[in-house]
Amino acid sequence: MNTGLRERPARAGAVGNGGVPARRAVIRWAWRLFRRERRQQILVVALLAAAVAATILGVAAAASAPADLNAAIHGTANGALILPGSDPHLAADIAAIQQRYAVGPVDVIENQTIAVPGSVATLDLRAQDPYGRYGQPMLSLVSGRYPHGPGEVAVSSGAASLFNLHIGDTWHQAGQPRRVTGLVENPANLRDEFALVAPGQVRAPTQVTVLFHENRRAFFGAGSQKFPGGAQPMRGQPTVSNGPASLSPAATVLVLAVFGLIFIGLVAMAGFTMMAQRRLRALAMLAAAGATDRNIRLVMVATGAVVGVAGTLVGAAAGFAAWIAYAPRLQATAGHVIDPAHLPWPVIATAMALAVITAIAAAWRPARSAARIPVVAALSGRPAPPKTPHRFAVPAIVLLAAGLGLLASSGGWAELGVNGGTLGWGAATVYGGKDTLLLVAGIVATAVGALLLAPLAVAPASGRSRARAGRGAARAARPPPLPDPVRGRPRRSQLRRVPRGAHLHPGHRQLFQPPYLRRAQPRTQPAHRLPAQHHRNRLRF
Amino acid sequence: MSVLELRGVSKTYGQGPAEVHALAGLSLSVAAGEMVAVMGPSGSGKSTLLTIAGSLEEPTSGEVLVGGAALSGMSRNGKARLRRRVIGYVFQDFNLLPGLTAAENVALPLELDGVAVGKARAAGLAALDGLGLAGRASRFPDELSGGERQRVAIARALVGARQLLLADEPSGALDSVNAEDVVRLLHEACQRGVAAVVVTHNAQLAAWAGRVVFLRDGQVTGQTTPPTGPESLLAGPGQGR
Amino acid sequence: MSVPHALLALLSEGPKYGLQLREEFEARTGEVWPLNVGQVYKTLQRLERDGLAESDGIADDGPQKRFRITASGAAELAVWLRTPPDLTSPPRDELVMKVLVAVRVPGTDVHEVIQAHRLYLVELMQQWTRLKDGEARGDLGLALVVDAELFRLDAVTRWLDAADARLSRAAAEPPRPAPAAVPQLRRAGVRR
Repeated sequence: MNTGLRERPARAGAVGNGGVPARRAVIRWAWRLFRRERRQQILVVALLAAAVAATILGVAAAASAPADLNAAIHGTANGALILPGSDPHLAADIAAIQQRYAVGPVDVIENQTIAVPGSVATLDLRAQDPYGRYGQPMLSLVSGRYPHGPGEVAVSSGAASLFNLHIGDTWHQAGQPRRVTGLVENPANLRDEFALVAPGQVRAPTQVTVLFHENRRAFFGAGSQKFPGGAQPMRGQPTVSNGPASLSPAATVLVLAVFGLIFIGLVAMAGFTMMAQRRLRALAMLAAAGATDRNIRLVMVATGAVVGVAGTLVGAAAGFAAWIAYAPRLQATAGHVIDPAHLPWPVIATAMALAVITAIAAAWRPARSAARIPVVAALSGRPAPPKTPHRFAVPAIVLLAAGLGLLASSGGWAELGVNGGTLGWGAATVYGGKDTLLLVAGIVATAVGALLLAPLAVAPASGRSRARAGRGAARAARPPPLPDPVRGRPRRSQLRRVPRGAHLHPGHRQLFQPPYLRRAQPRTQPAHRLPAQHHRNRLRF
Repeated sequence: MSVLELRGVSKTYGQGPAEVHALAGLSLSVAAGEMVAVMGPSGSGKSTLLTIAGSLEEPTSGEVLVGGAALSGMSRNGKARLRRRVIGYVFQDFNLLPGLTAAENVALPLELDGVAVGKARAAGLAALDGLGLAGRASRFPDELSGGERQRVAIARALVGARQLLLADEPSGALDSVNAEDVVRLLHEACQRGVAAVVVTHNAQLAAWAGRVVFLRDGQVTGQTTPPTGPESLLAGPGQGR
Repeated sequence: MSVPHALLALLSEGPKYGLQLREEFEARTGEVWPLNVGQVYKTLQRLERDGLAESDGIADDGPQKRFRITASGAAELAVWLRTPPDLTSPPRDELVMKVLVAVRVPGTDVHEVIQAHRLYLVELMQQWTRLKDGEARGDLGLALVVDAELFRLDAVTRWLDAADARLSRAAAEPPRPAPAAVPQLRRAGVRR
């Protein structure tokens, strides 16, 4: 033949374990196998994609939905004092506040409550600088332009429909005509209906709000002292309580996602186990060609990684698409502007990474057991079937039932919320201690119960019964099956006995019949019969 | 020095009443350039002999030496290295990995041993070229015929200048023409210095071997002796009837 | 072995001398079946007597005598080529007899007998195979003959394997009742 076979190529490393080229070859094969077996992997990929998509959607909604009511009323300022509108020394008081308690300039908002004719409802006439330091989160322009001087006003959409106003109309309010220059909204609270005028255009303010960045020492050191002009500190809306049992919504979704991934991990593990069984002969062939145990494990783990990445990418695409589609509707329910691009990226990245890790981890155990199966048994295609886990059935069912009960008694999400118990993520995140504990305990119990139950659900799919496990294990240890139907192969010594003591019944139709020799009684009968038979037996041609 | 040596090798499977003695105190020695055929009925231990010689199984007792190195003390990684560099295995069927082309299959042991992809691939192509299969090098195994597959398998078992070739019924699934091609390949490899042990039930193929060993119940019951003088086949009286 | 017909086949190519016929026969069959001159001439005489061939009639029994195929000889040749030989009766095979007999000879291990013959057959096949690999590479006729011999010997070894297995199995199992009727094949007579 040719010399190509004779040359000894350079070997990598004294250890000679193959190094990078071996890993690359193995990964290449794993990738090719994945491409060929796409359809079998679809379940796990779909589950992972669903988990990732649901997590992304949930995390995005959870992070965006809660309304930051404080931003709606005092923007980015962390100090706010409200002066009564009737304060005679308004300007001086404002200056005093700014001097004593504020760091930097102050933002002044004048509010005047005006009546809506023919209705009990009232409207807030607000004088605010749109470019004020602290008021940005409270004000944004929808169309048109901001009002500049006297005689100009911008209205929110609710106010516009209330007074039947459009841009360019003239609005007569309390005898004062003003031209509507634009439509505005409070992005932090879309339900805030008001009419905006330029600063100073409110003649008779009901109250004046001063927003500033507080000078801590001065502000709290003041104790119960009186503020200039009888100003009162603004009371913020209740926010997320930092009680012991509460979590940020995004983190909660992540925790749930982790549980979901655990389930999916189990399904994936079963899926990978079946895949390993399908590939068993090929893996044995790889071992016979000289692959180490690590190489063989790498095949399975690489497949797990590919599946994980595929599922994560598909899930991420679906999740983001769903989020972009859902965000407007969420905005309407939540009552504040939601920017689809404003997402908790670290949480999402963690979720995606976890999905990939789940797939890899799910492939780990099948990988190890595949590498440990003896090559010979695998080549003949009959390894020991997996053990069916019957042990955990009862505890698993008990836990599952308890978990579901706990979840039910905790009331779920619906009961908790300041905004009248709306379902979904519009609810504010206020938790009571006991309910939270029940919720968390219920989640944990359900998760663990389902964790233990899942293998049972998956085991029938692999088609092995416990009855076969015992026989299979013994069979796996033996060499390939013998087509010889002889029960208990005769040993050499027994064979020798056969011809010596054998005798043949004369089969008048057959050439000869099997000798009447039983293994249990080797010698006695034949020896007894031999002489008599010998005369009768005649071979005939 | 013999490439393969088995000394008093025994192999028992199972326990108690289910005990099976696949091999019983078998001794065999194969030198470089020698082709040994192993014949025997089913259950005589032929396949077990190969798996033990090929480091895929461990004997219950006895010693196995490949290239002078004892297998008993070797780690799993050491045995894997042996299978990459010294021992080549050819099975009756299913020799090639699906998902890899013929050339990639042949190059696989080299790549597993750390040879860079380019060099390994070139060596694989060269080996296939020598077998006249260069045109099929980029085909996948399911696109090749049975004979082509076995020849690719032999190329893979020999690549990298390996010294010992173990073949278990290599022509079992082939027709007589392809079977002869396969055994000719093995024969030529032996003429180049490879030691080969071929398990077969086909006497015509075993006849290509320099020595034929007969196995029964895990023991050697006989082996052919090479002829001492020139063939006298044709000098005898006419074989007409 | 139908030497007459083989000679007729050679004659169908054209008239030939007796010695020429012998040489060509041996060459075409890889010199595996040597013929002696006397056998050739006797066969030619018989062909002449049966009207399948004719000679020049120059001199009796001389090497100068040329032989020619006749029309009926050509017809006979055509029939022979197309007619399969009678294979219905199994030949009286010595080895088969040996094995059958060895089963009941006291003190004989029939398996050892089988093994001894198997060894001999395989050694023979080894020699034939070496020939095939050497001389027969360029000689198509010889290759065909060697193949035929190898297949024949192979068939015998296979029968030995089957007999071996059958005897082992029979030794371990209790006897089974005979079927009701078995076609009487073996009464057809023994082939010569």
